[in-house]
Amino acid sequence: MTLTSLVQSFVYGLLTGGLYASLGIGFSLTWGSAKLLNIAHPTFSILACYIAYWLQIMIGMDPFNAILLITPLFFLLGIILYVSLIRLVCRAKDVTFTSMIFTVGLAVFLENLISFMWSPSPKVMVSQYTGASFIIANIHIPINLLLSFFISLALIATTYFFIYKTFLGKAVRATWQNPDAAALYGINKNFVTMIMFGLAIATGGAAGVCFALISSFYPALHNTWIIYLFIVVIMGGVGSVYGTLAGGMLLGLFNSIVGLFIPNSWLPFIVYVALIILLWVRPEGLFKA
Amino acid sequence: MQWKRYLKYGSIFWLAILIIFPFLRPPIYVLSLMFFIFFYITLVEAWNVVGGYAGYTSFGHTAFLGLSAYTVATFTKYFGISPFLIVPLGGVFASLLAILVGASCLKMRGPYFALATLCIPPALQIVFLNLEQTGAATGIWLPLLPFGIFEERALFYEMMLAITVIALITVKRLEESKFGLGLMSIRQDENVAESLGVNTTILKIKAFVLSAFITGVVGGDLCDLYNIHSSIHGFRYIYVHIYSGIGNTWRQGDLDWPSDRHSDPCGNK
Repeated sequence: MTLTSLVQSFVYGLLTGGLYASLGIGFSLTWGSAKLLNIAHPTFSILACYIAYWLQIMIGMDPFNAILLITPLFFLLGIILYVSLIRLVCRAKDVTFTSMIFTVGLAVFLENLISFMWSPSPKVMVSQYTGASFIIANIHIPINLLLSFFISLALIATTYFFIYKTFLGKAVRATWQNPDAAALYGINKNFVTMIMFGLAIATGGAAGVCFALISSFYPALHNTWIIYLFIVVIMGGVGSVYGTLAGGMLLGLFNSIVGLFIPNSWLPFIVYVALIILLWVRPEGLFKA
Repeated sequence: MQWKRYLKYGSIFWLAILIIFPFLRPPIYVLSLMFFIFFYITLVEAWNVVGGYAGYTSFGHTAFLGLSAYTVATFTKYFGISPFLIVPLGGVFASLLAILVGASCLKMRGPYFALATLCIPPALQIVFLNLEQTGAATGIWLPLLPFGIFEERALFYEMMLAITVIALITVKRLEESKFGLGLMSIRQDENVAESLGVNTTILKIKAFVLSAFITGVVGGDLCDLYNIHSSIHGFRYIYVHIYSGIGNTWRQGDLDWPSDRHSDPCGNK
């Protein structure tokens, strides 16, 4: 192993780490703010991949343009989903547990719907930059990956801006700290959660399309992604924007550095075992004291 | 207490009908369907010990099913032992995995336990997919039994019926025993149970192992019928349970339907 391959995998890990973080950010926030554990979150990302794929096949739309279309579409989808189904789940006594069971079912349903509509075989999406890459001192950076990384960063920055700089975000944080007290001050918890959920699904969808540009995708892929999401979110601490970003980067680095030493097909095994160990040793996250 | 006696005789009557059912030569499809009804009833009963009485939602039972099926198939393939004799061994292997998992994961509570167990089936799947000894992605093909397909199905029907009855009686006895009461106290409030002198750690691990053993025996039986494949049988059977209400012995099963996916003779998925 040379220094170049080490640096290459370091850079690659950092860039894919950004993607993991943007995939996990919505998941983390709904879990943190509304205690809503949405297992179907990556399934919506897969759905977004297939919609982008469809747009490309049907009308020849470039995936990067498709993201612009998919983000508002998925925001709307999230809101519709919240109003129609998730709102009922939120009334339960133990929201985390009930939503977990409910969304596992939703994920299975969506997976089979996607398989039914687009067949379960893996698909690949090509953009105008596929195959091109920057080469800096023998280190290759695919342009697709770089652009996806910047889009992910923009998604995370938008979420951060929404949570910490807007009035609605303040309401979200208030609900998060103490739902009853926030309701006493006139915050409509239902509305806040609805916006939060829509935002989560929108970021998840956009991140899914970014992911589809760097690797192939198939309907059952969400089973792998959900565990990656759990690692990212639990490492960073549930509901923390910075934590999710750091957790995503760490997971990306872990993946690409470990991938240098062991066969790639064994990589998810290591990751799953790492999650069990993480849950065992530090369930509250790496960064919280 | 009159009706209770009727219930007892009634269940013996229905059991007798179920036992002689294959001798009436029903269509093979019906036999397979009944096999899967028993299959899901037993799995859900097993899951109920941990998920229902103790209140620990485990998503990892698929791993026990798969591990046991692979154990039985591997022993049959490499040592030539009849798979019928090794079915309990599948349960033992599943129990060993349960001890390992239980000792590490049962300390966690609530969603964290569910998450940790969610990781186990895919991790195990990757192991089976990558090892040459377990046939990698092709799976293991077991030799056919030397009878016609109807006799084979009838045999498996009777076997699964026996396992189901044994599992039902076990779980029902457990519900009425001190062990079951301890588990239910864990579900209601674990801290209080602990302060009242219930050894929750041992109890939880015991329940987990019992549950895994039943699941394992079922998995071994399934593998005899179908050639196995590194499948994830999915969360389907947990759903049967959710439909039927948590913590009740008699109301489970009968809701799930074997889709064509399971009836596929190639054993795909």
